[in-house]
Amino acid sequence: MAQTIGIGTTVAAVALAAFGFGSFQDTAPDGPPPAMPASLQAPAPASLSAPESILPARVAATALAPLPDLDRPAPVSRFGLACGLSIEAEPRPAASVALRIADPCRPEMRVEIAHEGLAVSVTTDLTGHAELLLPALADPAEIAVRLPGGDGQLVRVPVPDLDEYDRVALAWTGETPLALHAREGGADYGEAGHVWQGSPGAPSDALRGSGGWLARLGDGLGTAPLMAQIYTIQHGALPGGGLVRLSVSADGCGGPAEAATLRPRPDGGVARVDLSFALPACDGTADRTVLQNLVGDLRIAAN
Amino acid sequence: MRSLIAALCLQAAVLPAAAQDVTLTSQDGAIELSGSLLSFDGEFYRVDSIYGPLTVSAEGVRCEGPGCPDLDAFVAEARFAGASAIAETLLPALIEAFAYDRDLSVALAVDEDGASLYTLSRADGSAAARLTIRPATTEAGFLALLNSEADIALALREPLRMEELAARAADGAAPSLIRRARIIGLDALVPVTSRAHPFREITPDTLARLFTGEIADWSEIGGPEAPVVLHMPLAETGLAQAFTDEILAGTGRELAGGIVRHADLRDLSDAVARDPQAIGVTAYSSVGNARALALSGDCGFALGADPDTLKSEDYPLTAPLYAFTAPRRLPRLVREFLDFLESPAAERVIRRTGFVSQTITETPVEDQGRRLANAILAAGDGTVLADLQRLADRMETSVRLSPTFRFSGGATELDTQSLSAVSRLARAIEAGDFDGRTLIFVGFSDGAGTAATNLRLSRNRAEAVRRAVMEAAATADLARVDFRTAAFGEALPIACDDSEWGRAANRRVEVWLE
Repeated sequence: MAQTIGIGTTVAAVALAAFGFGSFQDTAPDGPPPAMPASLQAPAPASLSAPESILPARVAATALAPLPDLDRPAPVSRFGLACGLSIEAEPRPAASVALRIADPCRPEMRVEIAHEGLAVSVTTDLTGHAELLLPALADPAEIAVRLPGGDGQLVRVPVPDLDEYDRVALAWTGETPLALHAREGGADYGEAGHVWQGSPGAPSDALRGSGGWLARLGDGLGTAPLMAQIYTIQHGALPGGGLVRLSVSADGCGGPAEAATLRPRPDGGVARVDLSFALPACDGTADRTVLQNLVGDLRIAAN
Repeated sequence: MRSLIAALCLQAAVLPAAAQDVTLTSQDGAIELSGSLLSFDGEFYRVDSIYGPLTVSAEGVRCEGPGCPDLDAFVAEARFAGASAIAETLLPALIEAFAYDRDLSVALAVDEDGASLYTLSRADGSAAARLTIRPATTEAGFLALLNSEADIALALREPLRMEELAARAADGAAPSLIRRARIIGLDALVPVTSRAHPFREITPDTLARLFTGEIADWSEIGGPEAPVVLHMPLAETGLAQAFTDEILAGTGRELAGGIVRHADLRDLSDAVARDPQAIGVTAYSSVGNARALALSGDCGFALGADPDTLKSEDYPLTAPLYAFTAPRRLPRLVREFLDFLESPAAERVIRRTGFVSQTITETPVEDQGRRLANAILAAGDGTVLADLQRLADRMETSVRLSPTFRFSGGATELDTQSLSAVSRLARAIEAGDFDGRTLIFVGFSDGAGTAATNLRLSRNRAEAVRRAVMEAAATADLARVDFRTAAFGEALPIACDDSEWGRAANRRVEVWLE
């Protein structure tokens, strides 16, 4: 049931982000608790309210530096780095945003990244860093980074090339492994032109217009991890135009599964559909279900 | 819930003494009406009263009694069933676009049988509509409509006589099935090959000989030496039946053995796209990664399926996508959804999903020139120079609009796509789109029969269409538009007269705008 809440309320969570932080813990369960004494943690920012919290890329990095305390030395991590959250967000080719999240004093911390109703969870490494290349769903991309304890930050990054690409996102919570499949130009499953996690391509493929690229987001760690796969293809990438067939596969059996699809719209909005479907009964016959008509195909015009 | 209410009503009818479950009182308290509630659509109460069934607007009355519905909790419901070609791609995309347009959120639940339940919810999370889609065949859609298991049937063809009769028997005095049709969009039957295939067009006769197995190797018709591989939709689908009816009928031959059948038309196109030896028949909307062949005739005309030829029905195998509604009042949000289907937002969805809308467009000027050149080339015994000059005169100063009117079976009764085109054109006239302009209804015939007969026939048809459009434009100020007719008999063929479908394409009334 937890995963239902996670997916169903991400829109509300992003909306909340614009009005200040502190309520995220209600809507998304925490990952593993930070493994360090509380005294080493950075002080939480007092309060950030819109529009101040919607900081331009780069500037964001300095916004949450801990306030200087002249009586005590500034807290540092065991590697000697100053504590405190910093987030860098930069536009990248193929209508993507590179996110660098760091809090040296909070290694192995669950971080949730929410954008236009899509949410994924990642874990910082031993030095408190996490990186993510997020294909944007809107221009400018507003991305909320949420941390345990109610910390968070909203960044805004321009994505001027968004309208050069077709893009579809599938988001779910990680109990049932789902996968998005894109079959370009008539390709069958397993053939060249079948883009999925087994053959995801790269942003450079989308950039060259030679095919599509599947971004796999979320590291699947912790309880109820937030996962997403985002398929991107450049307009005119199929010579003579054609169809990209989209399907969703689910591993496992028994019980319901839930997910959501999100697509950028030409008018700048994002079209969202919350999906629920039943997995086949656990009779040992099939361990993967392919759902053909859950996600509408992409029609690529001739260039 | 609905069946429960229906059961209660039935009881009330049998036992007049049964408790009456609602009392509607006008706001000023002057009028009171009691009875059992037949239905509530979020807007109107339908009450079985001592005066018989009455429909009362909820706005003007207060409802009291155990039968009163919760006004705020009303959820509009509709059940769609029928052709999967509509149910699986176009309808979901339209529902999502409608929801986006209305700021409603969309949740889709798919059950084990492949039925989809769309729940559209307001910002506060309350449900506004629940729409069920059950993909099957056209035939199953009509059956579900007849059995009240569906409120809207999705169909790729008009009802068969049998289905029309069954509906009349079931629905009594309600408007006939065909009067409850809406055209959602247009599609067509097309032959497809891989893009690596050398052919660009094919005659219906060659197509028939391929699919009956008479031609088994491409080299027999000037192609590379390679066996022909045939692909078709499942036999029970409307598309496969239409192909057999339109292309094989009259040849007296049976379909070849070993045809690869596909449940999903896009799978069919993809399979053909991967195999240069393959030829398939599929829907225009599902050509996808394959390539559609134009239909050619021995006289040299070739008609390809494209948005212009589908809208004008010039492409002979055009197939409208129909929604047939149940003969009862649908909830307001569902009716609004049906109206939304003719909006510009819906048109974009129809285009994006590969179908063609019935939106009125002007065909390019150069198109008129090309058509005139064809007319001169095709001028036969029945066409004299004076006709061509008259034609050239008219064409020089006008553009052709996409609506084109055709008559079922050569009779004077318009076919369904044309009836829908009449109402589209009438609404554009009512909206003032053609104020100060001249609309000319131009009749044409096929080349069978004498020139004099053909001229008379084409003039009668043009006149009939002009009258139908003017009658349909009830709220328009008809003085703002100059309505004229013209007739040219067989002078401007768009297809070869050597086949029935070619002659049917030629028998038409066009609309030119001056």
